[in-house]
Amino acid sequence: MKILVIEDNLELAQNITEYLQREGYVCELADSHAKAVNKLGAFAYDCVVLDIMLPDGNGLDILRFVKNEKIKSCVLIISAKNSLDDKVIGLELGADDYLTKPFHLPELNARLKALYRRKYIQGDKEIFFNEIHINMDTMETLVNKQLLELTRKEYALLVYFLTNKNRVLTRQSIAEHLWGDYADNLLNFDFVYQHVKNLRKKIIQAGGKDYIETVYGLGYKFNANRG
Amino acid sequence: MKLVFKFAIWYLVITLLALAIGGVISYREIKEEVDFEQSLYLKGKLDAAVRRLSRGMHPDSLARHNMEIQQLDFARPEMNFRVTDTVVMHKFLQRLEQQIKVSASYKVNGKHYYIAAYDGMVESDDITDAVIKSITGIFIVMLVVTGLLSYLISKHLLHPFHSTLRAIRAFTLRQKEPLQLAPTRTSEFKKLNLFLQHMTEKAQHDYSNLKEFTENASHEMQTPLAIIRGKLELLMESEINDSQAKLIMSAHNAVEKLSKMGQSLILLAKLENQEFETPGKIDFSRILSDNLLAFEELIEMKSITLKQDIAENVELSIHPVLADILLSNLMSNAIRHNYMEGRITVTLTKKELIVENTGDPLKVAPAEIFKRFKKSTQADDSVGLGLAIVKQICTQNNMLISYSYSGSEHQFRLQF
Repeated sequence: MKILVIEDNLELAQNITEYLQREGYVCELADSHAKAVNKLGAFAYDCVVLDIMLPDGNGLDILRFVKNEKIKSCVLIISAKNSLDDKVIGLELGADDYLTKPFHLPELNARLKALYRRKYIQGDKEIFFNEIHINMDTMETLVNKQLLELTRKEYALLVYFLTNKNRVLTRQSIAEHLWGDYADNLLNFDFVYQHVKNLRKKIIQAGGKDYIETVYGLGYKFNANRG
Repeated sequence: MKLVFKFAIWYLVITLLALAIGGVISYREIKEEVDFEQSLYLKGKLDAAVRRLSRGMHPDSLARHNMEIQQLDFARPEMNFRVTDTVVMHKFLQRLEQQIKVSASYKVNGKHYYIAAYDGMVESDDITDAVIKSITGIFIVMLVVTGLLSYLISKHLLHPFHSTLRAIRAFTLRQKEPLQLAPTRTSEFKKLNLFLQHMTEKAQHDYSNLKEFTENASHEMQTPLAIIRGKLELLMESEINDSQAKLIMSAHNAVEKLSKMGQSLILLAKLENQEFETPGKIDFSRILSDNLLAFEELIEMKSITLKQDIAENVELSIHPVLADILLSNLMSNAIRHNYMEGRITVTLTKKELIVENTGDPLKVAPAEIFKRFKKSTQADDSVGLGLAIVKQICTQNNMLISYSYSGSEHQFRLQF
């Protein structure tokens, strides 16, 4: 997957590109409106990560450019401006998703993967990993061809783990992924522990390997190299 | 008491004083004039008596009522003309009356006569009566006129003052427009209005500056926080040992907390700037039910019993996003400060929403609960802005929120 990151803050842009590059993506960077338009005109990208506030223009104009030029990239808006208007205008202009700064990098990764799957791998919305098989359309999860009875949250958690294999996922990032805005109000992250515990138990009961490990002090990691 | 009536009372007191002094003066003036005229008249009588004596009339035949004649020693020097007061028994009234008396002695035809005449055409107590009556009359007229005028003056002259008062009362710092005051030609009111206009403009300016600062500061905080968070997340990916992991995690937690606080402050600033315009009526019952559903899991996790009694089709004029924030803050509050296996009761009627939950009593004063950064415990993971946001949303949407605690139950009552 080829991604263009349009972000004027270099540190932030580096965080994003470094994280996504480890995923094996090709990541390019544009730190201004002009550069972004140039790059978008010259090259094709699968996904565009777009910051709304740019030094020489509004990110929404780039979004208009993408739509006018019929560029086939999916656009994920990232903005520190947690304004409802931006969100509504962005989505109305045809952005595919919206993420508010500060976000967790695994969350950005998961959103991009979901966008990519939705847009480019139509009819093939399945995830295969060793003995685990997920059908994204029917939300069916099979382990060793045995159907797993997962709750919606457990299902979302498993997909989140699989999109961020071999990475440390903090309890906060998991909570925010599963509960969105409501995660703000949670006193502690015991319920993350509960969901992870249940998911592990269900996978192991179906004869799957115990991929999910607890990273002491940090959170959890889906270790693809286990076994 | 109205200012104008205070003025009127002072005016009347001064008038009364002036009238009293004026009364004494006019009494004196009138009495003097009357006495003078009367003494002239009596002097005429004396002259007539002298003429008659000189024609050889016997003095006894002249001595009658109001007239005395006595023969004096011829060697005595003549007495000059004198005007004195005397007290005489009034013939008809049968009482002593003060009267004016003139006297002198004359040498007529080789004889010396003392002649005195007295009379009281206008007595001094008649003058007193007349003066008191007229002054009382004047005073009553003044009282009525002053009262009436005070009322009219207060309506007319103080009109600019009252309209300024009204404008000030209706004024809020949050409004975008400057204070509008009716023009006036009274210099005091002009000064007052000018001062008020300057003051409110400055206050408005400071207020919006502060708001802007809060919003900008919270907003600008987000980017460095995002960078730190990203760096920490990248660091987690590298080879680290347990103690490093602990350090990263606590730094990460602190960043999370700052970030949440910044977002809450931005929301508060936006609320105070009234950036959320109410689009129209929304189905509050449905939003409440959705909210309860979203919290179902958290409630179950603490084994809390949720009792709900939600009236259908309760419609409210509130921005849907605000309604959602309001309810989720109230609900998370009820869950957060609850016991394991506690109880939450949510009741919605057309008039109010009541959220009750079991929990330990507050450690802060109940009045403080809606203030910013007031938390039951400092160790609490919450930012301490949730209820401040709830309060702000209520204020903006003309709802009344109150809190009470009784029998280990916290109760939040929201009246529409």
